[in-house]
Amino acid sequence: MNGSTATAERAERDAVRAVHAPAANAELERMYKTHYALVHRLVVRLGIGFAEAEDVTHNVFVELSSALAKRDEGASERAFLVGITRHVVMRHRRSLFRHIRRKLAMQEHEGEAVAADEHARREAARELHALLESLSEEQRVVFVLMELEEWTAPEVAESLGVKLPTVYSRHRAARLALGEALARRRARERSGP
Amino acid sequence: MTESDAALDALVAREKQAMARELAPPPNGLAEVRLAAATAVRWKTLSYVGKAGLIALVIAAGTIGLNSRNERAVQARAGSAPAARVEAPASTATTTAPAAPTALTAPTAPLSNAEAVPTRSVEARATRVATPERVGAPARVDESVPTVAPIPVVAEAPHAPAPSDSLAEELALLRSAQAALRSGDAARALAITAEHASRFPTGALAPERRALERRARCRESAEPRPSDCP
Repeated sequence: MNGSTATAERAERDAVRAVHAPAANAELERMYKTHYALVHRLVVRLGIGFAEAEDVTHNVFVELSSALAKRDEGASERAFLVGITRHVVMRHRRSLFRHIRRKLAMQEHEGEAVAADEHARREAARELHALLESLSEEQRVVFVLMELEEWTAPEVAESLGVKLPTVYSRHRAARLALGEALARRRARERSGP
Repeated sequence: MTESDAALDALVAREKQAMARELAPPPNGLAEVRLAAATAVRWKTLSYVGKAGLIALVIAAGTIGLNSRNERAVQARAGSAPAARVEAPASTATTTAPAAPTALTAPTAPLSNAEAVPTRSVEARATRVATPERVGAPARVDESVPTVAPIPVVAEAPHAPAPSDSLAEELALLRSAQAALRSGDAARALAITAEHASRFPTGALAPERRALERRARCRESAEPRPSDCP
């Protein structure tokens, strides 16, 4: 019991030291500056609310700091980041505790003084994000990368580690499901409250 | 292209336009990442300590329940003999390691020594030494309340690890500051970061401290709209 506590404390100190190591620092800083916007957009589009997006984005870079050593030099940097982002977002969404926090954050957000243009910007994005909830995670990530991030299908296939026909198939299924969900939403709006 | 395809494309275009604004990394963002790394791993550690504390509490409660019966029997045998209070070894009250494991490993007094049998409620003492609130927190010495001889315990756990190094202390301080900031108490957060600055002016987590300081100052000065701050 105490052994596991001591091990965890050692792991904690090692992790902090790793983040503070000069080499890791330089690489992390470069990737942070280069890819912050991409990761932030992905986090939002994969289902984390705006209120929590910054925290989760930071968590992605926290994971990245310990994963840098294991990175395959030949692999694309963006593909590597997408993998970590998916992992962090899924873990975040799975946790009941996080779910409750997200609800609270949304309630807090309702009373939050956000600039008018920022509010309008978020509202414009939210309609599609709500529809994306109807997709499976696999379809969602393909749709986000191809339609919203404008990646090519081969890039997506490499990033997700799947075959090209799988990417096309998921993309087609995602578009179909979203089209149907949108039609249902419009029908509800027309029929009124 | 069907009608729903066109509607979907319009929605996608709208979303892309909305999300197109380039998001610059927030100032001190890297320091935030480092702090998040520290606190995330710390949480894992705390969960281990929490589990350890809970198990220790269950063992201690069971043990003390047994000893309570023994104590009553010893008192009955001792008749009206005065029960002296014996100071507990300092390690019982002043340990900075998780309290529960220490309580299990505290030196024990022989049960047959009737003079050393405490008059205080054993259950009350158990609460004092092994409540979950104390687990992982520095224990305080309560000078006003005489402590009693420890009761023999059945379970013998290995000794708690040595006090953590300065990095762990830095982490604990900054976590408190972060918690204070989250609860809206910017003044307390500033006080804790000041303590950190005086104890660890060139500590490993100095950049994190500065980031917290800036956020706390911003929140303090941005009243009544602290949400404008990062």
